[in-house]
Amino acid sequence: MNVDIQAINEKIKKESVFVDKIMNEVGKVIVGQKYMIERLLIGLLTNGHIHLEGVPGLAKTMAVRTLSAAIQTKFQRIQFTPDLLPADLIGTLIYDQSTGKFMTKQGPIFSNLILADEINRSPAKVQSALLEAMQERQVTIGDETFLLDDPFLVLATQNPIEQEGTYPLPEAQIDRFMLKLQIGYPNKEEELEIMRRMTQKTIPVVMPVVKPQEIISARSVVQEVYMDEKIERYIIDIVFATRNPRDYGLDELEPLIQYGASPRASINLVLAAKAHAFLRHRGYVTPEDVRSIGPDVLRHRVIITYEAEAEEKTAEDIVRQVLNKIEVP
Amino acid sequence: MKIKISVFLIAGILSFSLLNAQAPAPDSGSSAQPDTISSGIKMRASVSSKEVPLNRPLIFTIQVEWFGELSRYEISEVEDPVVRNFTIQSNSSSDRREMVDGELKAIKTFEFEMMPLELGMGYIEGVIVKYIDTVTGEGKHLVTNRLEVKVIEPVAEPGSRKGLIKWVVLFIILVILGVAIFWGRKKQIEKRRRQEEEAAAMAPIEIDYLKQLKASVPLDNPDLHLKDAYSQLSHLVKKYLTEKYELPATTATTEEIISGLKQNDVPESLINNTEEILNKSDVVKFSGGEGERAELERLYTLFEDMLDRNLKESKTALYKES
Repeated sequence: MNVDIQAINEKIKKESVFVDKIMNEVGKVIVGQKYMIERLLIGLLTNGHIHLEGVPGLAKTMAVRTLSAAIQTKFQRIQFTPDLLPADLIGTLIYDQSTGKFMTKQGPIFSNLILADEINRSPAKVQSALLEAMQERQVTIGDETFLLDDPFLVLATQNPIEQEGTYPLPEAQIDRFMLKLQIGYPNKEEELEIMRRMTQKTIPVVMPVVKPQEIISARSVVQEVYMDEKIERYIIDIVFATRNPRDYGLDELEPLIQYGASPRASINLVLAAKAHAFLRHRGYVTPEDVRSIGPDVLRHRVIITYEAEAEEKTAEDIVRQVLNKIEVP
Repeated sequence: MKIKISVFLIAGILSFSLLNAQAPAPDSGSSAQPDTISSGIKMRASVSSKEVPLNRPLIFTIQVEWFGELSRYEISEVEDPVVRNFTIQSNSSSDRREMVDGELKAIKTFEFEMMPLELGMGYIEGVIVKYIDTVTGEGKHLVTNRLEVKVIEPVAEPGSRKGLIKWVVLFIILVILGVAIFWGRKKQIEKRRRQEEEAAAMAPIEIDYLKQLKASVPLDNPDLHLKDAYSQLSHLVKKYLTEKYELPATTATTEEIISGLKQNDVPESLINNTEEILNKSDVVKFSGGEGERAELERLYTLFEDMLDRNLKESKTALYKES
């Protein structure tokens, strides 16, 4: 295959300028969390949705709100509660007495960036309504079907420390999220900077630096990022190692994995790796992109056994073990 | 004429049947056959065993007895038995007398020793014993029953055990000798392998990698596939780093390898060279480009220099140690 890599590289460099602008602007408000902001951009660039997991107080909401302001998109935070109804999410028909007609009242889902906070607090019917909208990118209210705005990115959070009275998402539905991020605590320096910045008289304001259209047009450029066959085979090996660990000399993982990653994992790993390369202003994917994004694509797609739980092994540990075993091309 | 012959045949068959009918039911003993009684004289035919090994003789005994003096009857003729699957080796006879319930009993015994010919069934046809009653002067005869004997597999000869023991002893000696030779050879091989390993361990790995570099990236080949050559070079560098610095370089990315080298206190120049080789190779390997020969040669030299330098250091260290 004859690839004009120079042309692709030039194009990517030109089209990815906005990435640095966003990172700089968000960095004015958010300390650290580069990992999270990058993954949010990957979600935007690949049309994927993101599942966030982290204890409260890690600036998840603030990070999304800041990003939304920087890219001039609408932002909605929906707190999922046990009494939430699908209509509260997608909207409903209400009767207008003055006209004697039903009119559509669109729900909060009609926005660009949606933070579905603690999605596991609502029953399955509300979760399903959200997941359907995520998948189809359209909502039907009464007889009318409405297309959702573009870009449309859902960030669903699950609080890992409180599980009483919750409805955890089934594995099949979690699989629909492109990435699952695990947000950790900031380090000492970062926390010191957060402390100082957030206790100032004036909190920094984010300025819009990118138009949503720039992100939408960047999506097609991301797809042009070159992926060599060696990288494709590397991705296949990683995904297959989660299914047949014995074939890759990972005998010890065999009893720990109930189900390996689905083909959706391979597809999303390719897309996410391309977007990761784009964020690095590179016109081709390297194994670094795959290894960097791999855990986020795979950790919610590898279903562990009770034996693994008993051994206190997580899907994250298994994915790391797989990535450390498969030979890098 | 035909009718006459038929009458004779029938008469013959009937008379034979009548003779046989004189015999009582067979004895329950393993080899004894029914007695044949004619007035005061009684006859018994028996074999030493119903089954005889192929290499053992069978004794066929005919015993004729009567009450009174030995001279009461005169055994005029005992035919040689007609045998199948046997061959008669010898025969003998004996006389004796004994008192039974206060009466004198005369016993005459005829013995035939015969050897089986082959496995299967063997038969001893009826034997006619002719005698003369010395009181009346009458001549009569008795017929023994047909006997069958099974010829079975031969048994070991008592003398053959010695030969067997000899063979067993010889076998054991051979086995011991074989084990000793095998053991000695194994120890020799192990010793040689250990020596080779020690020698290999002593030899710096750089020597081997220099050879591998020449073999996997043959720069003198004008048809060298550049993309493959870049891949080979980068793979070899990773293998070398894995062996030299115990880094999991083959399963790590360039960034991870460099960070690992930095943590291992590797000289700065070596880290820079490694970074350059791996990064430039990555561009060719993953960007879809073909790469340039001049660039490949430069990277080749960088790695070669790295190996040479480390080889010198290893040799110096070895010299100091020794």
